[in-house]
Amino acid sequence: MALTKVITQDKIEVVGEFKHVQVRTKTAVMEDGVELSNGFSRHIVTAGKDYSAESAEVQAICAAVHTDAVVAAYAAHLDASASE
Amino acid sequence: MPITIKNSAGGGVTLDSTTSNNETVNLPTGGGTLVGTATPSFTGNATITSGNLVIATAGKGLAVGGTGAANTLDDYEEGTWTPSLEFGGNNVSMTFSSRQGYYTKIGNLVTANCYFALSDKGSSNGAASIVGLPFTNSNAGLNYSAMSIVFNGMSFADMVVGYITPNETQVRLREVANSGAQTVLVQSNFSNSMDMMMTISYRA
Repeated sequence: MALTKVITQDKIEVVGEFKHVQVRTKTAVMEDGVELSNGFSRHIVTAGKDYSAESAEVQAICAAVHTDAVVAAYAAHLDASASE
Repeated sequence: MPITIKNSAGGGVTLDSTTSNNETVNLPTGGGTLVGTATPSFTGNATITSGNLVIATAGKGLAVGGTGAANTLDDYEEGTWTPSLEFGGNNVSMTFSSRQGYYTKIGNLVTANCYFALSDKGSSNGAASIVGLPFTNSNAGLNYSAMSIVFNGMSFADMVVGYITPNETQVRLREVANSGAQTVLVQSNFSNSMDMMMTISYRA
């Protein structure tokens, strides 16, 4: 009877025109390969943010979707919405 | 030994409902399953005495009061997030003495709450915002949401407000004067040891 903690990024979503990368991290407690319980934690990587500390998979997605055009468009959106 | 009941006229299994006995279909108790593509229909309550009702397909859910998307509870999730404070989109040298966030998503409604305390507000400056939210605010038209807030260690005039705008992932912090004038909060409004608790509900 061995208990183990398994942490995975079980859901990575690219959301909206500004390609927000939503990452769900699942922490599961396993007993001999059978999941006893789990919990989720979430964070979002927005265009223009440093993603060098993210997992390799998230980095690859950010590199693909956070193009210069997307970064510029989101920065312009933030500037515009700041006056709302 | 498998038993097959063919789909001919009058085929199927009908329990005798003409008596007052409680006719029952007993399924295996040793882990067996009832498998099929049929659409069961009950006129009484359906009860699961133990275990969960599992809807394993994304986008499917529990239809209440109708079968359209607006009547279907197709998502539920609870978890944690890590709140952070930024000035002008950065938080250079900012240090948190403690912070924790929780969220629950029911359908498309996210309720997120958090607490954080600073030990050093760092050197960044610019408009203050709370970041780290678990979901992106929907890009639906005029999809603005406001937060409730309690804090220590901030100077302001005359009221602090916070809100999230469509297609964004941050809560913008403002001060609103009694005259109605609204300005952004910046680093100088925060002490090095400020702390804050907040809750916001928004549509993801």
